[in-house]
Amino acid sequence: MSCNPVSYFPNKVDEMIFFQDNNLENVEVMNHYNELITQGKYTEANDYISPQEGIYGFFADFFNLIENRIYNTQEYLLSKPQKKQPVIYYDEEEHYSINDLHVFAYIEEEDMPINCFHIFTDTDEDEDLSLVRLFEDENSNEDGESINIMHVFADCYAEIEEDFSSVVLFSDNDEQESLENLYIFTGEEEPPPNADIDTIWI
Amino acid sequence: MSEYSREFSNFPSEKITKHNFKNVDDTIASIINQINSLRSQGLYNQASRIIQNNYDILSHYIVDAITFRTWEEEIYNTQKYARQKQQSIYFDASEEDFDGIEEDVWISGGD
Repeated sequence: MSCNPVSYFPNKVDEMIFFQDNNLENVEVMNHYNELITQGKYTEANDYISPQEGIYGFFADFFNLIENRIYNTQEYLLSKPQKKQPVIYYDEEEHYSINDLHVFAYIEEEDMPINCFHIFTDTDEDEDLSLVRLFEDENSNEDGESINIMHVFADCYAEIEEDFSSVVLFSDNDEQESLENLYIFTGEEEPPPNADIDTIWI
Repeated sequence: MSEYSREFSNFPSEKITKHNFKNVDDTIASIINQINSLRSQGLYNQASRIIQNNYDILSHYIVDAITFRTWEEEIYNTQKYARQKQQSIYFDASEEDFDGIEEDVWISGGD
């Protein structure tokens, strides 16, 4: 059986062998080969069968061909770079540390009204601001100040800053929210900074 | 993700170990003739012992059930590795139709 055991993958896809039984046209060749094997003339048998065309059998070249193709395929796969994660879950809402926010008792000229922002208890549902109350004292939730009179600044440049540790956030009148759950939504959706053309972001 | 089969193959930790098969020639003829002679006499145990005692030499000339099982397992593990190497996104209305593996993405089309 004259087959090339070398695998050329991945430079090209190896051609199929279409292994088959020997037909009647080759019966004399096979009979002679088997006769030499029976006589123990192994080297002579190999020399006889190697140049024959259209002979199929369980010869070393065929078995080496199979193993070489498996080996090259494995080597190719192992050489591939780590798969890129094409999907990222991106929360476009910016999370500010509560320590970066400052609440003042009076309105500065460059302040930003709280109405420009949205408060979420999670990333999915916008809370009704009318239900949110800020209190100077967590025990005085009966007379809390309306959020409409509070203002948030990106940085602190006023002297009269409220102590945030005394402010308590409620999503309704019954359940107190952790300040860690306070998110600020910046408005228009932007793609994630690490997304490229092949990235699906959800 | 389902596990790799580990009876004969260590892929992807290791690639297949190639046998470097050879056709029987006169250099190995004496052992082969001895094995064939014992088999023809029905002395299979003695023939088996000769094979075991000379396995390192004979392994280049023998293709048996273990060889085929090894190839099958190497191909099986290679396919598993290839499939999980690339993340796929499936659009199927029902999760029952979803044929992905871990870290694949299933997006339901809804009804």
